Amino acid sequence: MHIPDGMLPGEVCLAGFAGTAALTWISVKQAEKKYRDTSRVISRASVMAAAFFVASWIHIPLPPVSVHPILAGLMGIVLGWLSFPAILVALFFQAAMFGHGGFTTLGVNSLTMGGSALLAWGIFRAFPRGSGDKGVLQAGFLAGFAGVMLAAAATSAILLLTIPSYVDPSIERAGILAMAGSHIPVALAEGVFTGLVARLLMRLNPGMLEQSG
Amino acid sequence: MRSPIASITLFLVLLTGASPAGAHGARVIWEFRGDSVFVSAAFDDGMPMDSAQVTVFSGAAPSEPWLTGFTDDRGGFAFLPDRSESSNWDVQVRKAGHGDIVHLSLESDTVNSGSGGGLSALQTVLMSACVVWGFIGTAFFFASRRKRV
Repeated sequence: MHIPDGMLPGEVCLAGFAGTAALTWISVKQAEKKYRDTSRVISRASVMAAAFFVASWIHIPLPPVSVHPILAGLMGIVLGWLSFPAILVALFFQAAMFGHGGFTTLGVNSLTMGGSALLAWGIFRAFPRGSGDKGVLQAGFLAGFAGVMLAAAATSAILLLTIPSYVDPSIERAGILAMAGSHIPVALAEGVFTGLVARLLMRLNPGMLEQSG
Repeated sequence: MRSPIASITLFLVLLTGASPAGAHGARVIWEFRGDSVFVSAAFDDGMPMDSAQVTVFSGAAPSEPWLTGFTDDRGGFAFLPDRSESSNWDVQVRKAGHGDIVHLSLESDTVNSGSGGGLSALQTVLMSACVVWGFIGTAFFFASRRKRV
């Protein structure tokens, strides 16, 4: 899911940074507007960034690549607008410490994964409040599932549109589509996990779920 | 808030310690075998990047592919560089959007790796733990500041 350095043309990387800068600014402004005391949500964002950072180390070999949990949906429903900057920070550390992803592709990777978190949050919010345990479970499942699939679709689309002329396009295309398909089991698992976490939080501490904009 | 943070901290520390030492980035290393250069590519969980597309660029014309090919079942690829053309070469190994680029200097005689890592399991776990602790420390800082206010 993390696009490494050297895979994308320079213009795409620059566009990724521009988009990430804009979304980070919008996210922070929206969070400032929503919370009078941002320290409450910053502490939550730090813990969730740690979870996102660690999750990428659980890898499951599903040829032609290995896949890992992404947690975009969970980030979205717990952090709301702040899921985007939290994912950006975690991706930076993944690239800096382990070369997982890359610095030149940090903007693009942030857009695919952070943008998916925001969209997954939108799906979660679309469910009517007061729909009970079952409704929260369903909303959480859809958010978790969509978080993975949207990120996989966005990453695949970017890779498909930027296949360089010196590689065999049919082989690369088949590999990218297989990579996207191998995320379906991850999306299902994350959907179940996110749904269960959402239901648990709704029972124990509903304030930790971002149910409004 | 403190109790959930402490629980999540414990969970993350355990997860960091228990997780395998490797993600799904790519690691490409190269070495001389006689006059040839042998490139070996693997995902950094150790799975070989078999049938990955390899593109070799000469330092004399870095934007034009000098040679293209595929890795074998073990992620290996060998080629004979034209030393009269350049002593600097770049090799890109790519599979399904994953991969790496390594820079080869023919004047060097050591094994070299790309950006994919080469860290031991202990180093990886320690580095992960340090980053996670940084995040958790930030969380504790803001949580305690809020209580004081």
